[in-house]
Amino acid sequence: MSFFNTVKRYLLYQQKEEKEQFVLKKPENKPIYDVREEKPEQKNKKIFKSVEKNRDVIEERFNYQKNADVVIRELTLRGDTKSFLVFYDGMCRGDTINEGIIKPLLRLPFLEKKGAKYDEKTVLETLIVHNQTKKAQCFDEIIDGINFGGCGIFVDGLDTAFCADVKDWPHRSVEKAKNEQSIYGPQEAFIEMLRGNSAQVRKILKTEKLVCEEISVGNVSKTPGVVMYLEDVANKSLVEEIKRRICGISSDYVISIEEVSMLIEENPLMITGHILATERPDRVARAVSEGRVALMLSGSPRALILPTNAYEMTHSASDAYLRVDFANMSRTIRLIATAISVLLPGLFLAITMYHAEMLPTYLLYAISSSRQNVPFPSVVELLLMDFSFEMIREAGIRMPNPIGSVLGIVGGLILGQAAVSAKIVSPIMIIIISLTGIGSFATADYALSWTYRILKLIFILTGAAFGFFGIGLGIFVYAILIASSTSFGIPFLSPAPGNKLLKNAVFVPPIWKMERRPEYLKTKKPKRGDKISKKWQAGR
Amino acid sequence: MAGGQINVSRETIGGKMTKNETITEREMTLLIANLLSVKAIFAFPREIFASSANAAWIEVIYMSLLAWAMLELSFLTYKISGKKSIIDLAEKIGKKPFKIAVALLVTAVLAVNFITEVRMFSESVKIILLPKTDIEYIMILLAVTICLGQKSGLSAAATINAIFFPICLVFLGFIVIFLSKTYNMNNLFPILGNGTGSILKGGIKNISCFSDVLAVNLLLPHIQDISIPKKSGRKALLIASLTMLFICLSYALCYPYPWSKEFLLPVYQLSTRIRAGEYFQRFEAFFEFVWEISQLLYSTIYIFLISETLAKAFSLSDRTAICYGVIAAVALISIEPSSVVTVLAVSKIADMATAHLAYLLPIVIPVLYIIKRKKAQNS
Amino acid sequence: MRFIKIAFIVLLLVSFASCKDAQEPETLGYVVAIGIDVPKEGEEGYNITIQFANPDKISGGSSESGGKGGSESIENITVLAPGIYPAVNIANHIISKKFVLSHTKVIVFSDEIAKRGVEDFLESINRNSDIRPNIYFAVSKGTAKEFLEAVDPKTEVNPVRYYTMIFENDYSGFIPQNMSQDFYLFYNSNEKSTVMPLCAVVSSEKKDEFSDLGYQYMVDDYVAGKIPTSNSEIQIAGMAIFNRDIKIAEVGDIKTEIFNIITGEYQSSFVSYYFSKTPENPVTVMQLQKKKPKISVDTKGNVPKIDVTIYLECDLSSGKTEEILESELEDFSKEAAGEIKRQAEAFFEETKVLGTDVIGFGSFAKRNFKTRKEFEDYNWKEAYKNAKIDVKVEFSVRRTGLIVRGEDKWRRF
Repeated sequence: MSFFNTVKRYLLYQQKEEKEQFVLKKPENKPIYDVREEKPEQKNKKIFKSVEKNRDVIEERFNYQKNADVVIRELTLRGDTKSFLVFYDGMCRGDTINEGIIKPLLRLPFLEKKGAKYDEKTVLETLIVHNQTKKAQCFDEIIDGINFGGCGIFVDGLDTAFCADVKDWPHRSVEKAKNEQSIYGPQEAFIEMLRGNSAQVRKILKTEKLVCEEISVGNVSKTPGVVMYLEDVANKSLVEEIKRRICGISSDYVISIEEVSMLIEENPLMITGHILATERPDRVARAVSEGRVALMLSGSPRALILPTNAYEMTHSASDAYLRVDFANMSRTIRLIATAISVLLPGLFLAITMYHAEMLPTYLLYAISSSRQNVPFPSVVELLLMDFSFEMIREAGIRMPNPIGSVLGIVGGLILGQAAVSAKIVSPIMIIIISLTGIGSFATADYALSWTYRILKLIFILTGAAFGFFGIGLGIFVYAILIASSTSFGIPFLSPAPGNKLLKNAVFVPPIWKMERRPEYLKTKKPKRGDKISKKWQAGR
Repeated sequence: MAGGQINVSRETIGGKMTKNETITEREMTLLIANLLSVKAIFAFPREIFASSANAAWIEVIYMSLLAWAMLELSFLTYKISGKKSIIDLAEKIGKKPFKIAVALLVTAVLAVNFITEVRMFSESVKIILLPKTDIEYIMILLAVTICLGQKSGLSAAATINAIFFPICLVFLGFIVIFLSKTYNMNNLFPILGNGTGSILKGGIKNISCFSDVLAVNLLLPHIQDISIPKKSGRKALLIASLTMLFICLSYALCYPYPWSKEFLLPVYQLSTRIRAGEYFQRFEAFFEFVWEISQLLYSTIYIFLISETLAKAFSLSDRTAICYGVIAAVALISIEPSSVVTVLAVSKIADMATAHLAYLLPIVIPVLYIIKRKKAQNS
Repeated sequence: MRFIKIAFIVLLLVSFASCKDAQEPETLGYVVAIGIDVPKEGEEGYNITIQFANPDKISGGSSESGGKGGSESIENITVLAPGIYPAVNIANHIISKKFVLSHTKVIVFSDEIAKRGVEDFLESINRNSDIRPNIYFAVSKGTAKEFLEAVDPKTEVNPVRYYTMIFENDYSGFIPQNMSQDFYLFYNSNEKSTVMPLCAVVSSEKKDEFSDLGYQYMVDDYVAGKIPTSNSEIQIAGMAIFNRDIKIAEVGDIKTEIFNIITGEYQSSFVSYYFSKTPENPVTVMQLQKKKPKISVDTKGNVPKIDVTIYLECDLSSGKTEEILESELEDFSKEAAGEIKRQAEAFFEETKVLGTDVIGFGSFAKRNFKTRKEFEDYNWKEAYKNAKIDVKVEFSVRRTGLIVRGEDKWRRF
């Protein structure tokens, strides 16, 4: 048949029947219910005494006909009292509902006379056996609880409903921290469950002064989160400013903590980020004990630490667990690697193109002769190799693991070697680019490595345009811009030079000398240890 | 807090930077030391050597003692005048016209320094680093960078200065140490150079070397405590005169007299002679690069001082708009002379005319203020 | 934020318009040495020879093997021009690469140029930031062109290192240590005269000279006008004495060694002395100068009185088996000290006759005056011609090497 259709189409020129293409049409009617435009009386809609009316409201709100994972289970209690449960299938622990809610509700009340009515106190305190149950008189509170994995319980004759927290959805177990590895020290990392994360921090600090204040972000998504701080240490105005900024976020759906960090930052478009994100609970515990504030959100395995300064962002998690000498050497190597990864390509271009008299003569002959056969100018060559390197790096992230690492090696070595043999680039450029790349892998913070990549590009451009003069200008402008920025009230480059704490910020101090909290945090308790931390040394 | 009402408070909670920027003692010390030493680094040794031959280091000591004496005289008035700069005091003495007159005098003193410095810095960059680039391009870059710098405020510039300036001093120390092989003690003799008379006369002629002590007075509204400027001023003068002394000493030890007054950029010449082994020998471009940053900081602070003075004079609330005008005017004026020789000659005359004002104004105006207050108290 | 965007655009525009200074390293030709000669009859200007490096032959290009080096690593080109920079300009029309002078190592003046005066070149060398202040000058017997063309660094791949190591060696004293900027600073002063090392192309049949001062090697027999054969080689030894900027005399290697000792630049070398107790065999020692000589000048009387004290020490390096030197160290020291004193006094007489104070006693004389005017009135140049110079030498033998002999003959000290 189709053959004939084809013949008809081409010989008799019959137009092909076109199937209708799908086009998105604009919605004509306003939605029935918009959570953002809730009127106050709708918001505070009270629960009815009659269970049928409640059920009608619930079915309408949850769109019960279409929503397949809403479950409404009717129960008849002793005394012919009707009640029903509402919950989402898959978000709740079925066993707990069975054992802790349905069984007691159906079987337990053997003390009541027949036909007696129940009141909320009885139902809650003697009948529902679950450990986290709350009662409410407005629909919205119950529905919010149900949306986050709770089980709503409506009993006939009561104008109060109950919500039991039985959340249990499939989640990751605690694993090793993949992006902040350290050889010594605890190896746990955060997971996506909010209570699990705050528990991991609390089990390290073990003090009742550790406050976890609840916040909710997003008008529709209402993502719960916590603000953690030590009440007798942290500065009160800092905590209030953080809460003020979070409450000022007005957006429908805020899903992850990275979005929150972009929304509360003062300079979101600057090259350097001003908030530290970590996935290790020991780092969060250490920061909170210094007087900082930690922020966690449900569904994100990272915590934010506020406020930070520029030096903190270069610290790695392992600095606290190594001996003083080793930690300082590690930090020095990291700083040198940072300097190389940012400045080396720019300086190389500036020196070979503008200030060739600076190089030793023999090195200059080597560079000059190795560049004889290369058709491109230095800038183009460098940018070409740099871009290839960045492509390899970006591709390596998306490859599955075994292929990813091999691709890096293959790409680097063979591509570079082949390019040199084909006389497209000179060998010295390969060295420069690989040193730069290795240096950028040595930074401790992922966000900071992006900063350095952008800075490297800026220095390449200014170095190629103006030589040393341009690089000096670039350094000056960058330094001035970060010196004038603040991170939650403290200048980004504090502690200022002249402060004794500066060398603590740049180098790792011995642990027995860290007896004061940082001054710029203006904590309530500046001291955190005695002057002599090792009392055993004072004599037997 | 859950999605509730937002109380946007107009008061600042938890730290917004206040408009009146304050700087700490150490920052002020290093800031003023920077202002005073940049001249030592660029062109000044030539003038000092011209007047007193190889006794230049004696002249430096003499000049710093003079400058210190003038500084102490101006400190005596701080008890009564308090944390006010001479512009504020001028307003109290003679209302607006007097204030504008004093502000214009101060601007003239600062502008003479600034214009010379901008032109000489661009010239030195052109001679050493970028011989073929037009000087207008270098000046545009300098101007744009200074604008960006002053936008960030005084505290930022002071912090960056406190980080970078010690590095510059360390580099200077390297030069002095590494050159020790080429020193020749005989170049320091005859001890008195051209004679004591010429040292004394030359000291007074060249006193504009340390004329930036005016900045101690202009920065008074930005400090927290009245005892800070005294300590900072003394320490800064000490650092600057030691820098100048070491540079003049090394220069005198390396180069014999008639040639030491010939070189246009003395410290650059010193840095070309460094040699420690076969590979460690070509350092001057690095050195210029470290200095460039200190020079940019100098320009940023100067722009800040000039624009703040003018803003106070004409009672403007915001000083950023004036900055762009000042930078444009300075760039156009400094491009005017077509050759370096004209720049040097004109700047020498202008320096001699305005340097004495820089020392006398911080003494005369507070004294007038004290007299006026005593008269007002008596009557 | 908007300001940053505007600033960025301005910077982009300016940067595209102004990178005139950017020079790729492979487009430049690096000049290694410059030679200056007089022109032929009837021509104006100078014959300037430019010796530049061939980086490919030095380091082998982009392959991984090294370069061959040797005489292929440098090339020469000669042009006629009124000065160094115009010569570079003209040469740029012959060779494609742009010449840069910032890695120049040596500037060679020919004998006739040195006799006419080198002042013209000193100005251009010191006004420009290109040529560095610590390069070497040399005066060549014959033409500079022959000298530069005969340069054949046999053991070096890198021609620059060849020049550096020859001109700066501190294990023999036959070349005066002298940087170009020192020459410029002192050629016109009234306290000192300047010197330059001598260099020449010598044929394989050398003629050594034996003067009354002992065995002396002078760079004297250059091949004038003849094409250098493959056996010819270059040598750099001895120095030329200048009065202002005109060469007036030449001095051999022994006197150059004395010059180095007294100015304090001498480090160590192997020297042979004739010892009266072993007349057939000169005793070779390794001589070191650990302490700089003490010089003091007294200008009070009619003639200046100069006192020089030289401190030298040495380690024994050769001797015959039968003759036992260890017992006669004192005598040997005295004789060697006397020998040095004799040579130093001869050197000073020669400089006094020429009227040039090459060592720089004038610099020490300055210490007696308070102001420059007094020193200039004293007129050191004239006064030096009649100066009385008194030399004291302290010479001691410290070690005898690996062998110690003749214990029974040692005198008890």
